[in-house]
Amino acid sequence: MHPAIRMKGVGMRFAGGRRTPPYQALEGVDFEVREGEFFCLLGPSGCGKTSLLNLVAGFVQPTAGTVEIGGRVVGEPDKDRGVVFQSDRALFDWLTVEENVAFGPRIRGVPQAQWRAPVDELLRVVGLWDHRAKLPRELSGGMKQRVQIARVLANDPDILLMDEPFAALDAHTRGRMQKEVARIWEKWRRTVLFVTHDIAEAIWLADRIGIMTKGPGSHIRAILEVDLPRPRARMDAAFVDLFNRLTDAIELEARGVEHEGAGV
Amino acid sequence: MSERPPNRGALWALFDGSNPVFMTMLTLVVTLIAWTVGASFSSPWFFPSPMAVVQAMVTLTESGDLPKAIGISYFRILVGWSVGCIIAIPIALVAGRIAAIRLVVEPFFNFFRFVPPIALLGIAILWFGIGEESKIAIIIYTSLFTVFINTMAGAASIDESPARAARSLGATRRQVLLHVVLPATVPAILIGMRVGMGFSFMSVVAAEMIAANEGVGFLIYNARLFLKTANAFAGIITLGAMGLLADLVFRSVVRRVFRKHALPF
Repeated sequence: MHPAIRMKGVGMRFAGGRRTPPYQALEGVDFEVREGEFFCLLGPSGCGKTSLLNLVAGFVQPTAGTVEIGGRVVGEPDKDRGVVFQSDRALFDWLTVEENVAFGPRIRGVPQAQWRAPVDELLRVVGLWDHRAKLPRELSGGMKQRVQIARVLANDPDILLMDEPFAALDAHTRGRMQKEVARIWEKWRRTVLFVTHDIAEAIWLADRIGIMTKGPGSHIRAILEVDLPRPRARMDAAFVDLFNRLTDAIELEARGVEHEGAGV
Repeated sequence: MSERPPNRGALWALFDGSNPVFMTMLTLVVTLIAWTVGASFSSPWFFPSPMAVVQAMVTLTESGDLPKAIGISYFRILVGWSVGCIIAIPIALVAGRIAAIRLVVEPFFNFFRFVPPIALLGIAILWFGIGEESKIAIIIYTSLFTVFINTMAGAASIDESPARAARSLGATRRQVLLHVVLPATVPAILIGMRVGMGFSFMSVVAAEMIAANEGVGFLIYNARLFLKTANAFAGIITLGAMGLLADLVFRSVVRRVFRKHALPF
């Protein structure tokens, strides 16, 4: 059985332009995400987390190494990998909430009889049923991210890629969204690759957390199992212990201290 | 609301900008009075009064000259502008998305930007004759460039994430162009179409002045031969009204068609 996602010696070098020097964002990235696993990529800002996610999505191609999905090398973006973007501008501004959610099945020519029921159910699951006829610009930030999540789930992808989806939300809304994502995932059980710089968020959600090093040439420093029972509703002693260990690790990364092999 | 405007009486409230209809009417009346007063110091051949212009309009309407001129000018603009838009939009959309095509096309557009439509009139007459074709060709050229540049810039600068989202939802490249890039570029396209329409009015008048014996531009320019200054004024006012009406119709149609878009006007 192939892992859901596998990266082997992946490097990503941006060529640079006349005024910008070339930049080696990623170098020697090796990791695997198991089938049905919730995997969080955690790292300081600017460490290439988003680049890594874009590679899995197929938006960009690696300059070294290979990215595999279920044993096959990634080419173009496709419906098997749904993406939730950090920016709510990823929504289709000129379509209603409902039309946004139904976009995937409709563009693929799925007959309405087949997508109607799942789309309606998803609108209810993410709490947007009463807002289904609204336009994205009439929604709050949290609601827009729910539309993004529902839009991806309506397409029933094998893998869900989430790029700091709640980074722009206020703390209260973010907490609620995290609980909702955890709840939806428990029901839906697909592979999730979730990028974040928020340590608590990673612990709330992940089965495993991959800690990335600071750029340039970032890679995965260590992978940590989060062995806490679900649903994770409270900050118990185990949570706090994990939180502190991760905080120290990230802080070291952010300061750029070399500590290869340091045990997290 | 805790802050209330101080009560300065109903009369004063008319002038504080809260009543736009009143303010517009006021401006209009004041302008007409100033015009009448100004004209009374001059001869009707040099600077006719508003009344004289209205009279000229009535005469020109009764004789059928003005309605005919309006019809022919509107026709030239509508045909030229529509054809220009139809040619420009699809090419500009593709050029906005594919850098290689943009690089090929852009130098030409940057060059011809500085060539005013009227500079091509002589060549247009040589190529298309002195009939409708040459005038319409000039309007096509005028609107094509404006619409093209706006559409291309719009398509090139749209946010990348909706297009990427659509690709991961299973859309093909062509579907992305049609169902994401095109709708996302609609506001820019409409601005280009609106500006292009304004330029088309300028071009049609210039073309009609130089090489036509019909149309509002001809009517305005011809008036000078007979020292019928009031006719020229009547033509100019007609032109303004025609532009205003065309813009009004354009905006109301577009708002209805693109109800879900956030339009900048």
